Amino acid sequence: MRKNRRIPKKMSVVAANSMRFGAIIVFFFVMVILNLLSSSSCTMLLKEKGVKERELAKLEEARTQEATRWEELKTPEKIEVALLRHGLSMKLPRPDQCVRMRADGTPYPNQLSLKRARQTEFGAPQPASYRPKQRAASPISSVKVAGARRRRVN
Amino acid sequence: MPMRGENWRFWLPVVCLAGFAVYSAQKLVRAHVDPKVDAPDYGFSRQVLARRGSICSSYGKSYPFAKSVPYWEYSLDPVALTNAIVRPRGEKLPRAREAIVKTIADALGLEYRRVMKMANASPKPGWRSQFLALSSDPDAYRTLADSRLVAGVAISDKQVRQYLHGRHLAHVLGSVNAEGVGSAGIEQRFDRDLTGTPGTVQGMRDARGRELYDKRKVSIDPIPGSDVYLTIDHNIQFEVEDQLKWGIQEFGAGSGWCIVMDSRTGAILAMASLPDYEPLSFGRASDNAKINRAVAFNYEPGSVMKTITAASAIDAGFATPDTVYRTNRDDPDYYRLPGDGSHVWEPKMTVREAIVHSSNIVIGKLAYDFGPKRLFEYMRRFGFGEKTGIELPGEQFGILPNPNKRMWDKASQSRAGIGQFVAVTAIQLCGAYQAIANDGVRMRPYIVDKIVASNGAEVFRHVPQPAGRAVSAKAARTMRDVMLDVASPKGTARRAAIRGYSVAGKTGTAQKQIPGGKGYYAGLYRATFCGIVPASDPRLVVLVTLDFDKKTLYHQGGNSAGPVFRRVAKGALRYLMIPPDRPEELEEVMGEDEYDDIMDERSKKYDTKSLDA
Repeated sequence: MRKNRRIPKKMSVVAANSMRFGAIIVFFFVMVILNLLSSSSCTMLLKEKGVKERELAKLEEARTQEATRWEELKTPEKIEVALLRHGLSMKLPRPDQCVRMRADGTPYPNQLSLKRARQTEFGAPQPASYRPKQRAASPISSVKVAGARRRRVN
Repeated sequence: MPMRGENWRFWLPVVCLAGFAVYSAQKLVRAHVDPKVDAPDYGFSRQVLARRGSICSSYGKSYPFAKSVPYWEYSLDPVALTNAIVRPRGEKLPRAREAIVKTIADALGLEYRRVMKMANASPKPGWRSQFLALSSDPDAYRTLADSRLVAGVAISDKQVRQYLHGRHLAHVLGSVNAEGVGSAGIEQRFDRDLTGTPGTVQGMRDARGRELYDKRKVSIDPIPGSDVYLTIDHNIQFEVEDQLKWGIQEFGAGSGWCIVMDSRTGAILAMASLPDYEPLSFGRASDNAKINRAVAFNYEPGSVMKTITAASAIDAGFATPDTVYRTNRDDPDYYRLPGDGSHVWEPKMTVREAIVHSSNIVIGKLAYDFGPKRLFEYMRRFGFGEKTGIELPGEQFGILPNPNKRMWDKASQSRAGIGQFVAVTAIQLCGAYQAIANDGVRMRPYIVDKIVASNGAEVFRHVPQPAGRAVSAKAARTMRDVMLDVASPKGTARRAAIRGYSVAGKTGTAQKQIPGGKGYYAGLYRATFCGIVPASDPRLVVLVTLDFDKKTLYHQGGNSAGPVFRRVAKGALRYLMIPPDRPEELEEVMGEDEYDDIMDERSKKYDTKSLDA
C-alpha cells in the first residue's frame, strides 16, 4: 500500500517537470528554426546586396569612363579635327552676309550687306569687284560665326 | 550516500552543459587573448579610394580639363603563377603556364615575350609582384579576375588622372604625382579640396578570397573631392595657345606667354605659356618648360611701362597728353637719359606723341621730373612689386626697389619710367592695364570661379574684388585715348589694329638682361604688346610677350607680339559676341579679310592626309 501511495505522487512531479522541460525545448527548437530561416534569408539578401554593389560599382566605372571619352571628344581641338576630317566647309560669314544692328534694332548705315540686298532686290547684277576667296575647309570658321557662340556639342 | 536514480539523471546533463560552457568560455578567452591561435584569419580591411575632384572649364561640369577615371592596376606574381593549378570549367587537365601568360598578354595588349620574361624572373626579396599595366578595359578585368583562366595576377583599384585637353592649359592645371598628390598649378594649390576622403570596408573573406557580405563589419563610403571651376574659357584658351604657337614659329621666338583678362572683373579667360609640357609626364619635363611665365617669371617690361608712367603723371596733374618735351638726349638738366631709336626724329614731342612713337627720351625726362617717390607710389598702386593674389602657386613679386630706402640712383629715375630697372610679372602688367581699362580701378585677378563639393554645395565662390584705385577715372580715360593711336598707321603697332574695333595698347621691346647685373645682351629682346579692346567700352585686356633667344628681324613688340595680339583679340571678340565699336571700318572689308591668312595657315597645318593616317 505504501508503495502504491508513493508512485502516483512521484509520477505527477515528473510529469509536471517534463511538461515544462518539453515546452522549453520546443520553444528553443522553434526559435532555432526561426533563427536559421531568418539568418539564411538575411544571408541571401546580403549576397544579393553584394552582387548589386559590385554591379553598381562596375556601372559607375563604366559611366565615368564613357563620360570621359565623350568629354574628350568635345575639346576644341578634337572638334576642329573632326570638322576637317568630314570636310565640313563651314567658314566665316562674308561682310556682305552680316547685318550689324544697333541696340535699338536699326542697322548701321552704309553696310555692304544692305547695299547687296538692295541690289539683289532690284535685279541688279552683283558687283564684279567682290570675289570671295575659295578656301579649304577651315575649323575656325565653324565656330566663329558672327553673332553666335562657338558651337557646343552636347 | 548512494546515488539515487533521479539524481544522476538530473546531474548528468547539468555536468555536460557545464563542461560545454567551460570549454566555450576557454575558447572565447583564448580567442580574445590571441585571436590567431585557431583558424586562419579570413578578416580583411580595405580602403575604398575617393575620386579626386575635377577641374572644369567655366562652361561647367560637362567640360572638364582634368578628371580622375577609375582604372585597374595589374601586377604579376610569378610564384603564384607557377604554383597555382588553373583548371577551366569542364576540363580535366590544368592550363599550361604558357597559355596563362598568353591570356594575360592578350588581355592587356602586352607582348607575350615581355610577360613571359616577367613570369620567369626570380622574385625580389620582400616584393615579388611586378607591375604589368594600367587598364580601364572591363573585358580585360573580367578575364584576369577569373581564377579559372589565369593565376598570379593581382588587381587593385586605381584612380588615374586624365588631362582631357592634353598639353593645353598645362601650366594652369599642373599635375599630380604617382601618389595622387598635386605637384603644380591648380592641382597643387587646391590639393586639399580636390582630394576626397577615402572610405573603409572591414569584413571577412572566404577561402577563395571573395568577400562574405553577411560578415561585413564596417562599411564607410568614400567622400569624393570637390570640383574646381576655373574662369578659363576652353575655346579662347585653345585659340590663344594656337596663335601663340604660331607667333613663336613665325617670328623665331624661344618662348612666349599670353593672358586674356576680363577688364571689368579681373577674371582670367585664357593663360598660356610656351614651351609647355605634357601633364602626365610632368616629372620628365625640362625645368624651362615647367615655368609658368605668366605668373612665375620676373622680367623687365620695357616700353609697355611708359603707359604707367604717363598715366601716373597725368593723374597727379604733373603733365597732360599735350605737355611738350625736347627729344635731345644731351640735356644738362637730366642725368644719363636712355637713347631713342631712329623712329624718333622730331625735335619736340608731346607726351601723347611720345607714347605713340615710344620715345625713351621724352618719357625718361617725364619720369625724371615726376620724381622717384611719386613714381614708386603709383607703381605700387598699379600692383607692381607685390603678388596679385591669383590662385596659382609660384607667383613672383616682381622687383620694385624702394626709393625711400635709397635704392634708386639718378639714372634709375628715368630708366624706371621706360620699363628698365624694375621687373614685373605678366599678370602684374596685365592687371595694371586692366586698371586703365576699368577707369582706374584695379581688380584682383582670379582664375578660380567656384569650388563645388561632391554633394553639390558651393564651398567657395569668387566675388570680383577691387584691389584699389590706381588712377582717377578721368586719367584712365585720357590714357586710353592717348593709347588709341599706337595701333594705328602712325603708331608703333600698326599690325595690332583690328578692323572694326578700337585698340588701346602699347608696345614694348625690352633688352634681355645678362644674369648677374652685367648689362644687356646685344640684339636679344622680349617683345610685348598689351592692349585693351574695344577701347571705347573696354571688355578685354590681352597681353602677349615673345621672348627671343636669338637675333631675329621681327623682334619689336609691334611687329611680332602685335600680330599675335590681333589674332587673339579678334578671335576672342567675335567669340564673345562683342559688337564692333567702329562698324564703319568693316565696310571696307571685301574679300581680303585678315582671317583669310589664318584660314590658309590652318588648312595647311591640318593636312587631310595626316588626319587620315
